[in-house]
Amino acid sequence: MHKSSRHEANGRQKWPGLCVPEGLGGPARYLNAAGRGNAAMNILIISGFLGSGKTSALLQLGGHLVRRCGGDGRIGVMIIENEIGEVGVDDKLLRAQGLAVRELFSGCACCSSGGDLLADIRDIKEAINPDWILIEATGVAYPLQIKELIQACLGFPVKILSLADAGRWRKLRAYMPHLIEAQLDGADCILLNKADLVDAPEADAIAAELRGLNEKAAIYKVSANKPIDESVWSFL
Amino acid sequence: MISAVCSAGMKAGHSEVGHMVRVGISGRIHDEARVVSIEFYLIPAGGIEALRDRIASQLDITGKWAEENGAFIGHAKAYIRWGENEAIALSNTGGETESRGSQPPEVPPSLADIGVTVIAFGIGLEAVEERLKGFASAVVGQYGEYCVFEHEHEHH
Repeated sequence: MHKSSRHEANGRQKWPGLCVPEGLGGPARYLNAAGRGNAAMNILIISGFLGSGKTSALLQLGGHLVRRCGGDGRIGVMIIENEIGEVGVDDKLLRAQGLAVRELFSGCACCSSGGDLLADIRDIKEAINPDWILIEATGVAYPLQIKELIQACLGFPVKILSLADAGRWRKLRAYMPHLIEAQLDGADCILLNKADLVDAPEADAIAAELRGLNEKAAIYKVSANKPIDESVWSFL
Repeated sequence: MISAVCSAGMKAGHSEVGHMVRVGISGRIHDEARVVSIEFYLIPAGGIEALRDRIASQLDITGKWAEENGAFIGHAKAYIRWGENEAIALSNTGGETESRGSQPPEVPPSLADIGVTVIAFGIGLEAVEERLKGFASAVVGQYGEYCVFEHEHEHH
């Protein structure tokens, strides 16, 4: 399925699927990238099961980080959108909101597409050198494996933001406990999303379960289709 | 594999002779997940809103189909794109389909690019593919056209 730009094993395009906001294209982008010198590039993996609200959270987080990076005309935040299907959906939405997105489709970065992910990160560092790369993992990814891969091969600092779906928590934990629990493993921050879909005692009970699965993460109850308090992003 | 070119070699799967829409379909297995995607182009006569409603309806039907077949839908997602950065994303994880993104234009665009991905558990790959063939046929059929499917299987 090749309507969208895809990575090719040979003759790989320099910027397959890269969407640079209007006005930021061309040589100036590279001059600006070089202007940051060797400042550290941070990486955040956004993880969570299918439908947990990763893209909704990313839309808000992306906007927050773009503002935090300042409006000096360079790309401060780059998103790598990893989708397991041949058809990318979320990248269209992110681009429609003016965010810079690179596609990584047709495989999961924690396994079959790990090499492509590393190549993408290297390319982005070299050409853009943003403050942040935000990697939206697939809904079936193991984020800690992605973090370990990046740190072992590239050495960049990596954090993990995980989302848990309050509305489907019980069902998902019964149906696929290993994956759901592994997606919280190593998270620096956990958003219990769609908290408005359950009553307050149930949200508290789920939050307690999350704490049992991850002792260190900051845990917040949110509804990512509404504005998220920016203090949530203080872990970054 | 995906093509917007119909048998007569015209754009958008719309020809003077065939009214055929080529629909790319791919399926893959990832652990326990069955991942199936379709992608095609349409001339959205009647506008983007009508097309969105038709796709949303098919996503709802897919959710019910999964329930009836004892399957679990990780997600069912679709997009409609009609410009470089003009797009609507739809998703269903059980319950009602949600839609967000760009405002539909007042004047219908000449072409819409449509993609759908369903990730399901507890059901065979072929069954999910058949559901998505039905999805595409139902949407395309409402424009008086018919689908020709181009297949690509991947197993991981």
